[in-house]
Amino acid sequence: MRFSALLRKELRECLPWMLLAAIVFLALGGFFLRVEIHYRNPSWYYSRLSPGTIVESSLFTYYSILGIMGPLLLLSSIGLGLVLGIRHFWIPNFTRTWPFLLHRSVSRKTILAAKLTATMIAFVISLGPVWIGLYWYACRPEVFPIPQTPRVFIEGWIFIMLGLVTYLGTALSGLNTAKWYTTKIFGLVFAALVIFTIFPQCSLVWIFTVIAVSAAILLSRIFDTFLRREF
Amino acid sequence: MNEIVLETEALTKYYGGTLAVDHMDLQIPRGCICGFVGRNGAGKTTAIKLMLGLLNPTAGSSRLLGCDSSALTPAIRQRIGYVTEGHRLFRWMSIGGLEKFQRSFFPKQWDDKFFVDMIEYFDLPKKKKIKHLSNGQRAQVSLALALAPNPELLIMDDPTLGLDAAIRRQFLEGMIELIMRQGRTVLFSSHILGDVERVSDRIVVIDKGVLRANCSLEQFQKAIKKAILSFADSVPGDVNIDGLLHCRRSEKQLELTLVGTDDEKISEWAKSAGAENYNIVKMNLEDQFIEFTAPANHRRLFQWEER
Amino acid sequence: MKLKSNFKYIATPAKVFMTVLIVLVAVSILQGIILEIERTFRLSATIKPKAELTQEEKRLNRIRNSAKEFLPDGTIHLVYNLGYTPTRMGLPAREQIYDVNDDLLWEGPSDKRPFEYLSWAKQLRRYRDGFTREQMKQTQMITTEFSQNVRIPVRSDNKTEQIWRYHPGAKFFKGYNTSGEKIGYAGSTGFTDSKSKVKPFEEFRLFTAWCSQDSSNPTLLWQTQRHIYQIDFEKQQVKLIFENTEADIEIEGTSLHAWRDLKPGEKEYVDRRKYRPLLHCVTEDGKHHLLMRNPGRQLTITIPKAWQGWVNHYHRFTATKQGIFLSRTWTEFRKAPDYLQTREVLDRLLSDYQSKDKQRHVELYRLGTDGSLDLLTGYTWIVPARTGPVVRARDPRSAVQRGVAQFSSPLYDLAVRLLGRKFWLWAYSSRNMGDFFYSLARMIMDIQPYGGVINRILSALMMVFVFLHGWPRRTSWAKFAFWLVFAGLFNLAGLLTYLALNHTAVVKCPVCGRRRGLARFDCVRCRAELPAPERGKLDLILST
Repeated sequence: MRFSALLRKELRECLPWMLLAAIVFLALGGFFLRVEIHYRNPSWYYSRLSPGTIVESSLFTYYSILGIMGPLLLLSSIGLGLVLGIRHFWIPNFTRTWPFLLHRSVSRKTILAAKLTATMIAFVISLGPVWIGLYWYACRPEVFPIPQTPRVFIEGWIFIMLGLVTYLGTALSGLNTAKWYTTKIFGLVFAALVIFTIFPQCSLVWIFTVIAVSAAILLSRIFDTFLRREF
Repeated sequence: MNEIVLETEALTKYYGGTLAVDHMDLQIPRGCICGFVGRNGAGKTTAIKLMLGLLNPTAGSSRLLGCDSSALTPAIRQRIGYVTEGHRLFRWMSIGGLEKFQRSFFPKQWDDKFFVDMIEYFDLPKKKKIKHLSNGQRAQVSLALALAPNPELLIMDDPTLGLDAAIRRQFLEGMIELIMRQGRTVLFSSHILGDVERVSDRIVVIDKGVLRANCSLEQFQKAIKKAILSFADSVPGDVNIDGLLHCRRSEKQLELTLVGTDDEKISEWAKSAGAENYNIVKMNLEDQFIEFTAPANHRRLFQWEER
Repeated sequence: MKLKSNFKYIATPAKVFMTVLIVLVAVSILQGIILEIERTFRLSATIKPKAELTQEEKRLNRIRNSAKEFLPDGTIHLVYNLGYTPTRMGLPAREQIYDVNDDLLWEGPSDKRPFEYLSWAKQLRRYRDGFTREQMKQTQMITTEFSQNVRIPVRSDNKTEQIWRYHPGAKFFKGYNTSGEKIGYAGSTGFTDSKSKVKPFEEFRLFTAWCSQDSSNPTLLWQTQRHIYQIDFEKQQVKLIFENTEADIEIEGTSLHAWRDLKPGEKEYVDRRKYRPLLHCVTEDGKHHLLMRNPGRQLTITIPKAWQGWVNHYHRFTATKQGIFLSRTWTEFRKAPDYLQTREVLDRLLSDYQSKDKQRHVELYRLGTDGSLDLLTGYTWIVPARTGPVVRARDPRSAVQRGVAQFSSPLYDLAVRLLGRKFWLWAYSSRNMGDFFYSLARMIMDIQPYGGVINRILSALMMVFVFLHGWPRRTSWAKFAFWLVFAGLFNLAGLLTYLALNHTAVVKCPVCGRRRGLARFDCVRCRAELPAPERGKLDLILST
């Protein structure tokens, strides 16, 4: 009951930002997707092919039509991670509501777990369904004749996970009581390093390993800092 | 002897190289209403946060209801009410929302009738958001949230800060309501000595991180006195009376602040010093506190010389 | 008692790892910036005006820069391209043609050339007409627009009817029609409509594509580890062109001549009336394989051992109605087998090579039916020694670079030693592991301290700083020793990491008067605890 009360409270704090991210991604993503579908119609895309000529191999490499949404999804995800991290861990430093929150009849671990769970739910239910919906839409033959690859779908979820990594980095920075010009921003810097390491890599195994290891590092640091920090 | 609900032993806290609390030894018995007073920056909030496990002590220890402050269990926290400095609550929540939130942590203890009565008494609509409340209204909500779970120990950090006299009176009445329940203990820090005088039975004074007084209010008020001695000729150069805290001179008058000095001793010294007459001035708690915590080389702006 | 956390056993090493990683990156970026600034100033200062060449030098350069072309009868001409003039942009370049006695035979625009020389098989080049394994890997790279894939269309009446998409993991093609329905699979044994029947290709190496004169649908030449296929998606045919069981085919050794049915005027067009379609590939055992058509024939040639080991050595093949020919070009200068072993060996080779005049040869051979080589003609010219500064494998380190590298971690030397120089040169030069590791390799090689004495002294100095800072603040011997060693191993980055993570306040101990940290209750020097303040005589501390 206590955990669910905390979770509800955290989710309600996330709610406006979740809705904003979902609406922005859906609206802009849907618009760009329609534009892309129109311009990338395979019927006339290959009209450059003509008899007796060498074909430039670049003609055969093809970004998915969902590629137009890639930067949007990445930015939405990272933006949501930043905003939620600030909301959960930076703003209470300014509003000084930490003592009220911490003096609950639950352990600090539970309070932190509620924040993290709320954020994961926020990501999954705000960006997840939109991404699934747009992917499903792009796969429909009447919309675009060639189905999308499962790999693109996985890559979209990787972008969403990068948003979670950003959130964890922001959280760690928010909990750090050092000066901003010393180690306070290291959490954010680490998250940025992880994102730069991911691009451009080929192996999904490598990417998931990097994300898992960096998330584990950030989570362990967040828990340790939150449990031992002075408020 | 009463059970000790709050005790600290050599509690010390440094912020960087600055000493905030210095070897504080304190015991608060059950059923006591303890006013925790000190000047700005004396270390009151730091001490309270150390007691509640929100800060790590540099040295020493603190125990609440028998449990170490750094390891307060959820069960112990459930028995402690805490009103934070400035009444910092979630601004986006409504009063009703906060009530639901707070109640979920006290499923068995929550006194719904009491909370509703308090809110109605303060004329606060449940749907109103915290950010739309004034400081006083927020204080009322904060008190209601702290009192409704019926805590054994209530710790309040400057609860009447920024409130007007009427709201302060209401706030204290709420506190008295709690006091009237058997076995409840209250520790509250305040700058308003009148409030402390009204409700406390014990006073703790902290000055520059050091504990200076820990006694009953009556003992404190009885111990600190001010005597004004008038002289026909010049005032004596050397003042060597027991318990002398401060001495201020004018041309023909001597003002002595004394701690723990009997009226007879004052009379004896006045005679021996050649005073024409003397008068023991009645002081309220605020005056007594100011004199008690004034530094040795304290100056006044007007008239009086230093000792 | 302080607040406790069960996570500290993971969180503490994680904190150290995170901090040292970020600090290392920051220090490396700073070092890189300094080096780039220094490099910019150094390069601009070394630009010197070119010296005027003598007539003889001009003549030798002309000969050197001329293309050595063969007429079908074996006569050798030297074709010198005069380049484009600004007023003639868009028009063919002018050229001069000389004979082997250096007599000018003709001068004019290259499209009006009066001679028809033998044309040779051309290597498939990435980003031009060859799509390599590197490029296939790049399609798999995750970018902000997600990854790409390779799709081959089949069109009819100017409309795309089918799309065949290559799946690198499964190593076969899946086909779709424009209604989105799956229409089949294409693998090494051909096209099939069932996934269970399709046989995947081997690991992909290279492909090239063209549209024949009678079709606007592409045909692919698909090269894998040991096979070469020709895939026609319109006719749904997969033909095995070449197979080698003994060794892998070299990735970028495949050349084509008249193989693709191109229209006249197209850049790689070769007149099939004069030349036989030829495919040339090299396997990793050094053998050259020729596949010809009209009539179909396969020939394997082993290059003589005496031909190997020369600098700038390459072969070209062509097949005409009159025969199969090989052109061989090489410079009379041997390179040691281990010339890439170290930078020093490579620099010595380059220095020797550039400081001498060398003979360069071109020869024309006719291939017999048994693969034997019959020398028809040859030509030799001088490659003069380089005038001006010698080009090195890498410039010697400047004083600034050596200075900056002294602040690097000695662990870079250890990493290079453990992984071996070959690994770093490979990671540095081939970008095989992706840009991240390429950048990492490059960074480490640029700022590696190379065991310099100053680097070791600086590391020791960092240890001294840590000692002075940490001694009054120490809480345990293990932690203190760890940070000392850490600072020694990571140099400047180690010291900064230590300072970032160990900023405990110090106060003067009231008992011994020396500095002591506040992380522990007692003074590290005199073991005295912080004394309680003196009780004021007038304090009112009365019992409860």
